Amino acid sequence: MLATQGYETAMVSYMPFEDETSEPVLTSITKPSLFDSKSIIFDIKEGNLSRFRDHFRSVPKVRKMSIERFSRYIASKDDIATVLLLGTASGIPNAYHTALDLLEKAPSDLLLDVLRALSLSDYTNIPLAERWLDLLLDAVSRNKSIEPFMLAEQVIRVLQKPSGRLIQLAVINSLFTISERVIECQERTEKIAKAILLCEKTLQWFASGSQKDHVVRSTALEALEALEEIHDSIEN
Amino acid sequence: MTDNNNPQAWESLCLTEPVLIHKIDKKSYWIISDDLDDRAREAVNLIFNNEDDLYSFWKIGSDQELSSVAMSINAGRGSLKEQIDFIWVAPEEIERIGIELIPKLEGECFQSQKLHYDAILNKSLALELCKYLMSADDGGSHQDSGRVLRLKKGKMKRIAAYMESKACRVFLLPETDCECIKI
Repeated sequence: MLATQGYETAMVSYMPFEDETSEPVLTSITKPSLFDSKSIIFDIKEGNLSRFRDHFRSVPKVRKMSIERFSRYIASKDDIATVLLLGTASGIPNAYHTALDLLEKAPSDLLLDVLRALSLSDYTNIPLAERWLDLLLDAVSRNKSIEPFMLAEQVIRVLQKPSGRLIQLAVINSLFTISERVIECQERTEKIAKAILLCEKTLQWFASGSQKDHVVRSTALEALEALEEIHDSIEN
Repeated sequence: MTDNNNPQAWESLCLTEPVLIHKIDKKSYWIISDDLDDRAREAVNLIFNNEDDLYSFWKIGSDQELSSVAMSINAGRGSLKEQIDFIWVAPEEIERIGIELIPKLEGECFQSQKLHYDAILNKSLALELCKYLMSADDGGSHQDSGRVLRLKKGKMKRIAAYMESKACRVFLLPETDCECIKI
């Protein structure tokens, strides 16, 4: 029941599994798709979806043990899109965090390619694209193989396009995660110091009076306070 | 069992009575808009979107209970120390809204299993719950996030260490007895 002809493969909703043997049914595969025709379009194939779906529906202990194996299956931008689709689908318990655990271990070049594509494309299905971007920002910030300063720059570039509260909070969360990770590094190189500075300056900007959204301001302030606590605990 | 490594997670939440918690993907889903109606509708879209309307709630009232539930919630994650965001609701509030809780053993940790409930929440009941909790935060006057709480990574590290010291089943190979089952 999955349409994968040509490039009409944007997914809007995902039905739950009716029983153990039933196949997933994707519904509402309609035009306009996630992106307009001039932008990147992902081709999500049924076989690929089925493979990752097995991981998403497994019991917690099995899922935990399978993260490494399934993350190795991510070998293309379409694979990343497949995991983003499952991770933001309705009806799959713990879908978001299952996707996050896989994507955090995905090849960094693919993650960054998809992040750039999602950041710059003129998508037509804004709520869905924002959900993907929200999840992807969370995932890239946890990927240990991406150089932190470059990663922080990429995350901040998401703000080049006007973004709503969900994405602004996702950027704050992402910058916090990058900072938290590198602050705990034993080795404080110049690049790491630069990354921390960039993240903290951006968080300060979010927390400043120039930011109109009070939820964004207070979330950035909370992030800065939490980073301060981490700094203190390391110094002590 | 000794409590030398007690993580004091329950105390840090500043909740005085036992509550029911429901894990959410992230805090931002609870605070996505300033308008109460939009905020509640988005929360339903992002949090209460299961097709079968079945949702997990856990009843917690102590450090030990919160710790065991946290381990069960994170049992399928890459790390047991991942931060957890959740919303909380008092049992009498659940009753007032008319949500039925059905006890159902669930979770990797044996102790947490008996703290688990299934709740059937259709979209309209979920909307009512969200609106109620969002209004209860602050009278709907501003965008506080009092009903969503977070166990940060630092706290989760202490919880995981505490539960590991108790040989919680989450840390053991399948079919291995933990301390809870020996009691």
